[in-house]
Amino acid sequence: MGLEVRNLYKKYGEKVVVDNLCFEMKKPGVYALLGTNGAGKTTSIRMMLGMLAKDGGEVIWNGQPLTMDNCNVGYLAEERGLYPKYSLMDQLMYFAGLRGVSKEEAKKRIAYWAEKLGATEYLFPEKKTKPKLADELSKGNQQKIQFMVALISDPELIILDEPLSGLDPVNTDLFKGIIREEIAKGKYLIMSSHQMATVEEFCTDITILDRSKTVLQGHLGEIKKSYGRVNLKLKTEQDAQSYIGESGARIITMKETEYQLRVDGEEQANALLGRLIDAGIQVVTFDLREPSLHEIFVEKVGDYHE
Amino acid sequence: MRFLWKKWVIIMSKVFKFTLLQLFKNKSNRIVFGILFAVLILSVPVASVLLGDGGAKDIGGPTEIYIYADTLKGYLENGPDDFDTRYAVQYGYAILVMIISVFSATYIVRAIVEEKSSKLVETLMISIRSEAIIFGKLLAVMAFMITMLMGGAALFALSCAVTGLFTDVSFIGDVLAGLGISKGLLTIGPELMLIILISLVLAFLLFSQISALSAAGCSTMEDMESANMAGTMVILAGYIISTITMPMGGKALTIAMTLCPFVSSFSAPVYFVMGDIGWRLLIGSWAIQFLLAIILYKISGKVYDRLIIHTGRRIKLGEILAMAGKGEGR
Repeated sequence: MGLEVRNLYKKYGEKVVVDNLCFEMKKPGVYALLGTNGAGKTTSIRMMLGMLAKDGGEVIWNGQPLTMDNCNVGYLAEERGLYPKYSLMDQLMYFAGLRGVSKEEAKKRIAYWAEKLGATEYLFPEKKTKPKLADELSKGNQQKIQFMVALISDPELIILDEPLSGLDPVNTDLFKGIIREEIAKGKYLIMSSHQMATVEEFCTDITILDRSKTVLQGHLGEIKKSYGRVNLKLKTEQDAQSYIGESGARIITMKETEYQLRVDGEEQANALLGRLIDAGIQVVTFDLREPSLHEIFVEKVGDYHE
Repeated sequence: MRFLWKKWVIIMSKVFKFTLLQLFKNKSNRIVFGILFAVLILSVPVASVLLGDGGAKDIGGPTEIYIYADTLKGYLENGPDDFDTRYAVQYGYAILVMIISVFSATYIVRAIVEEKSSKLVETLMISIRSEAIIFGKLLAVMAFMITMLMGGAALFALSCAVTGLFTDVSFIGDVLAGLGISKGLLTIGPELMLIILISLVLAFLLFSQISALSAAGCSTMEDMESANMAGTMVILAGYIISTITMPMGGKALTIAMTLCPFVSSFSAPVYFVMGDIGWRLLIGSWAIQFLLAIILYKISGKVYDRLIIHTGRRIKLGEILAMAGKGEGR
């Protein structure tokens, strides 16, 4: 059950843009579809949703080919917008109607989301106040309305393409909170983003695409584990450069006596710590961890783009 | 996969309703049609003051402007100047078709390009097939134009009637007579009304689909003018050919202009009303137009999905047709 993408394939002329993409979500959670610009993420999403014809493969939802009739999908496209000159309420009611939500239910849901996203003043203006048009809103507030459009049908499968791009920190936290709530409700989420920290925060499984091909796939925790603990964040009271050099660890970045190091493994890190203590260097921070998703991503797809 | 017609129609009707509502709510539409309606209402009393005797007329009811298809043939046989009449009728009808078609084409192009440039298309396509988006818009624009046309005609008639209660409006008959159309001879009966309606709907379907196809190849509002131009050129070509060829007469030319699509939208009903062709040719002309509308719809169905999510440079009409021919639609 759940979502299964089998050998999704697309080419334009001779150019293959999605090359046999496969992944599955057996249970609710968040799946990340990552890749550089032009790697084939958006094309894959469009094929999954039936907007683009597939040249091969299939998308299965609960054992049936996924269609808009058998799966309630919420989609926040990367290229998103609103009708600039139409009232916000008209637009939301229209999109709700297209998704088969009754008028009464749509009004309730709009009120709920407006409250939640802090958009009540735009959607329910006080009497004698002209309703706001989309182009009178800031980008962040427009994004709130677009988010409402994606969630208005209470979808079971939610696809978010760059959901947090262009948001200020306050709105980012607001959106993150809502994403967490949707996860808690047992929804299936597919997220595509270039903000690796965000992906890392939510996703359990990932696929990294590079120039149409899958270059890395699996459970994020397992992937990171396979790399071992090689990132060492070290902060000392005194200069420790010579000891680091002796240990064989590589300095990635350095700011005064705060170092970001790459070590071969725990043994090398422990040896360095022992040497620093022996030398009477006061250690403030010693944080040995697995590589971040950002580092894994850059390692996997960075060569071509360097 | 089973195609769910019922759902398609329900969803398409929502697009229709929303587009129609927005066309009526649109500020610039309200201004344009407000001015047009004001001109229609005021033209009769103002002209009666400027052209008529200005004196009060006995209350004699509305002015006499009747268009009677049945008696028109007789009038043409015995009429004073066949060329003038033919030209006036053709010119009047062609202008009507052209205005409706150009307005509709502009609205359709704007509606489609606005949606594309606003990056709403993908959000819409989650719920609805691209053909339904476009078809809903076409129907909404058609309903809007028909409403405006009927509204304009009703307001003009009302203006004539009300003005006729207070002053002399015989100048309208004089103007028509000057064009070769005598008052009292022409009345729009139900039969003629039906012929005009069918002809207008077919003309609309043909021209608007070309505009819709052309618009689907655009991504930005800057491309809108070029997309509009493609549809307008086809409309203008039909208009010019029909007004030039109509007064010429000649059996072969009449049949050719009746059956040639795009031109026939302007001339076939006029030829019929003038008695140059019979029902058989008129229905043949309609059938060709309907067939072409279906072919255009099929072509659209092949390419809309790909075009509608296309961003970047404008894809020209010729390229779109080539894409459809090669089956590169999606």
